[in-house]
Amino acid sequence: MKPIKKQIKETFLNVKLPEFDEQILNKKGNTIYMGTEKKSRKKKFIWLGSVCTAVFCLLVLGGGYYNNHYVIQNTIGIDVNPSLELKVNKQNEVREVVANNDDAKTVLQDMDLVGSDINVAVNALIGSMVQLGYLDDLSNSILISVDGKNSEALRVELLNNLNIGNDYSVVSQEISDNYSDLANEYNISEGKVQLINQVIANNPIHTFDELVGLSIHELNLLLGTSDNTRGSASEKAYIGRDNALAIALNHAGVTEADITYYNIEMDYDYVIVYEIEFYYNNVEYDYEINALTGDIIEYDRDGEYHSVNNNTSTGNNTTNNNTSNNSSNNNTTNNSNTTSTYIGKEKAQEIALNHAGLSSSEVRFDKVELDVDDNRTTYEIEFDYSYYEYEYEIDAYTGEILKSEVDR
Amino acid sequence: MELDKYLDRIKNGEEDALKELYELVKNNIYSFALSILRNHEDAMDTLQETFIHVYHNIDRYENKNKPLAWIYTITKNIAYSKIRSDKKTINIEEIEFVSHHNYDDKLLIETLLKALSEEERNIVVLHVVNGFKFHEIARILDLKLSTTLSKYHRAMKKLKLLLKDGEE
Repeated sequence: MKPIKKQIKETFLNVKLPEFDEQILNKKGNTIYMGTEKKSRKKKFIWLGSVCTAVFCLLVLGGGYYNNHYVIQNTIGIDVNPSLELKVNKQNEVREVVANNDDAKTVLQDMDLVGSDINVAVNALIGSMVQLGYLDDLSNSILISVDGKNSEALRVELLNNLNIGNDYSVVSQEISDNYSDLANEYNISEGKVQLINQVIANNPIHTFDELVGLSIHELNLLLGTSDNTRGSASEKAYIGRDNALAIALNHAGVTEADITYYNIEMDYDYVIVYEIEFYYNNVEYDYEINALTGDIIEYDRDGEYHSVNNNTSTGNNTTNNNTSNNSSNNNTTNNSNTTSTYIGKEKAQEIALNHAGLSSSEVRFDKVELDVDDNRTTYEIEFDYSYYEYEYEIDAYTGEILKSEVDR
Repeated sequence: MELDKYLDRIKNGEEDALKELYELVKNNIYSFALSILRNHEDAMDTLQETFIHVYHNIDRYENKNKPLAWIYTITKNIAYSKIRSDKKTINIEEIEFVSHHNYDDKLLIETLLKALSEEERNIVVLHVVNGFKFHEIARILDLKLSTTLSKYHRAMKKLKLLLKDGEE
């Protein structure tokens, strides 16, 4: 007899399944989640003939009707700055609309959404937000939060039925906990509470109080790409990544052709900033640049921290010159044997995490060290994920994974 | 990863790539759908609808490293939308098999569907049939890794008791 694991695998692979159905190419994908398209179930109804039973049946049917039509099954939150809640029944019909702020009241105007399908209602509200200018090409983020029974399926259904183009960025989420206390305390929606928590989970340096005043669009920018995000958050209101990089390179006195690796992310440091990291001749440069004004807030060169006072452009230039001088000194002492540069610890960590299919917030790094082994310079990286220990050896110049091990 | 190439070709409008991908993974997708729905007919529908969705939403596929996880998440969502209101009884009468083994294929599937909880079934099928790692399964099913591992071990223990295991 074969081992059970093999039996299970063989059995499922042995199931006879139909060949590819050409109709797949013609059917529309966005109709598949519609609950109303489910096959109708044969319902047996036995008429017993007595008045009592008829009354009983009426009561039962009436109860069913009540359950289907009036009992709230899900709450859908829509946040842009206008913040609304739609309460829907089992059949996804809107039973109640709650405006959480004045902007939401403006959006609603005299729309009567009660009784309409949730997909129609959500599209109508978003359409109104576009018309009224709450959503535009500078601020294009929408947060959709679904709470209640089978909320994941409803979330996907809503997403599939959104009639908006790719110009908008939609963050959709299932409400996974009860956030009513925090939501009431800060007078924001539970959806926004969960979104802030997600940003903090990605970057634990932030606190809830710090982020609570940010708009949905700003939070979406900080979130970056996530599994539940569709479309990109617009950066048109900001100077843009290219300009931010140019400002940093100019300050460091190098050109883009000189650097070996760079990374730009948006972050928050009392204002929205571009965080830029790049390498020039084995020296790591980190810049934080005001995303609205392009001012350099602070920079760090291979561990030497510099804080820049705003509105002191002359001061900046002076520092710039010093930096360049330091930089050249470093080059002559550090790098006599090669023109190549290391990829840097952070890039090495990123390569290891990508290979493991994990993110930095999920793991605990035990070791990230530069090491010369058999005449090869490598980054030795060790991190833990739950019961697992990951060990990587990564070529410090090419980023090639030379060794990877997972132990439990 | 090889599957990425199929998705890239589908993105470029190559219908043959969708057919090839279907033939390659249809039993895997079906097994996962069946582990959720416990109903052969619904699992077959879910398989078809998964591919309709993949074809029509290929532009939304961005995560280049995890094509299978993307497809399985679609399968999961479609399957869950089918069990929204009624909990189904097991129905696998109409399953047919390609070849015969020296053990009863249908009995094995029935035992797995009857003896294990939904999460246990999903984990066993994703790991044993589809080859996902436990941390990947934890992500697809939105479970903690420790929960995934303990449920898997409990499930395999149950199956070993109920079915004859050649390893023992």
